[in-house]
Amino acid sequence: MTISETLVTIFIFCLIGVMVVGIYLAYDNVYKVQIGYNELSTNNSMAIDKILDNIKSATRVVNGETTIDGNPYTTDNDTLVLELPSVDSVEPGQPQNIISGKFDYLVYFLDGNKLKSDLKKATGSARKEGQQSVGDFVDTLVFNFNNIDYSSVNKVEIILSASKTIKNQTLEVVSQTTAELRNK
Amino acid sequence: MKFGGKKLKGFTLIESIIAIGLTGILILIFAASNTYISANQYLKHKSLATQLAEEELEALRNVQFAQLSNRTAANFIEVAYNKGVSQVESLTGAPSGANVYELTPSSQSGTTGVTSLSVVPGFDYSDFTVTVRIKVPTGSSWETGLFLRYHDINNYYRVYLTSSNLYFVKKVAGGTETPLQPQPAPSISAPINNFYYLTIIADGNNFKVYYDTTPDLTTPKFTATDSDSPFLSGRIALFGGDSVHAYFDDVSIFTSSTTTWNFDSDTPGKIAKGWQRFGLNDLPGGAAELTISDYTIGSTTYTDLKTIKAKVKWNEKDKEKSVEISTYISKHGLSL
Repeated sequence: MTISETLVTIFIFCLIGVMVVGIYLAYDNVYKVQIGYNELSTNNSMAIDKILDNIKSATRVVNGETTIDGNPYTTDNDTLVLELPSVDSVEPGQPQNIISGKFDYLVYFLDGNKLKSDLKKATGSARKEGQQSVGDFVDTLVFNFNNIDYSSVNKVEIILSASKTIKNQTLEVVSQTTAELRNK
Repeated sequence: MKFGGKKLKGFTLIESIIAIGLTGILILIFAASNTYISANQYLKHKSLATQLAEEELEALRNVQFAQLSNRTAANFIEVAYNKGVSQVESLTGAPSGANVYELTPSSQSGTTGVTSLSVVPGFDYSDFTVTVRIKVPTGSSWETGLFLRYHDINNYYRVYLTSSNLYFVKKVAGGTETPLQPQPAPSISAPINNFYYLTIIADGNNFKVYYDTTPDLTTPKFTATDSDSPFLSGRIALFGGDSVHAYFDDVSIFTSSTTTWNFDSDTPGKIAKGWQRFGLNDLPGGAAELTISDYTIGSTTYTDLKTIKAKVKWNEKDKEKSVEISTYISKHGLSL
């Protein structure tokens, strides 16, 4: 092989190498971005499903301040305080009965970029008391109500916007749904 | 290359296999990326469509049973969607602070009729006073104003000004438009390129409309009354029609308390915080079909139980895709 053939061979090899690496990096970028979208979508879906389930079973949206473990919460456009009938079991597959005349108080609120819930239970209720993380990467949590008087609300709209930066690209996923209070 | 003392021309088998292999790898990586992007795009649209269909079914549970008349492939009802593109803009001459909220039509919202809508977050309002400052910088044919007691795209009140210097209050019920303002429509002066105050006091079925360069509420420009099954509550939305490019600022709603958005703490180029929401226009070629029918089993029809089907369609690479969700709603309150 002559020197010029060698140089041409090396050049072509490098060119192909750059193309392969370039396409691989582009693929890797697309993959990570799509994984990011999927993560945000899944996070939002899980959070929205939890909130929806609790709104549907709530007896009312609480008007006025509710204190849970020393923290005061008031329903407004980014905080939702729900009154739920207390139940004797939360084990999947187990029968669940309402404890008559007793209520648990559940709050959804934003703490930085974390969507959290906080719960105060009545004596005998099987629900888990205290704060829990419901979703990550949340930028905006909006509750819209079908009445300006919270004690008359029987429909709540939830809009959840989550974002994450991957490879200098900001991804945003907005989820939106509406739920009617079935037990009001 | 020499082989057995003989000089060979062209490529050897090994060289050819390596070249084909490398090309194959490149094609595979490209195809995998393309498939992955397409699949995710489809799943993203499907998830959006599913949320819209679910939202519609849930919204129907809050509708009186008598309103659930039978229909086939009709528009969705009782969900107030946004339309067009709305975003915060930094504007020289903004009335308060540096930012305003800009409404522009999207390519999907057409060029005539309602081309932009941005629903004000918060509540379904019944009686209220709403004030906004509106400016239309350019254009020769436009409409802009507010949607009041907005239920869905076929049911609302619209208070708006036009490029012909006229202003209107219209009721749209079941898609049919009825003017409520005095006839002929009152005129205004030079609404272009200045921020004007538009104030509406909604009290039951009466509306007082004020429009001026100052927030003067002493004498309304006109009053309007809806005596025919008025809408008594609903959402408020910023409205742009006929492809208008309009700026809104200092959106204030007065009820027992006051809420104001001046958009000055929001990021220019983004949707205002809390104003994010999506609708059919966020899907390529998005369209909705609502079908309501009496529940039928065998030859027996039950008029007190409705079968509801919500279908959302969109275009995916020129192919129509759809999501359909169904449920039942009973006159007697039990529903699945």
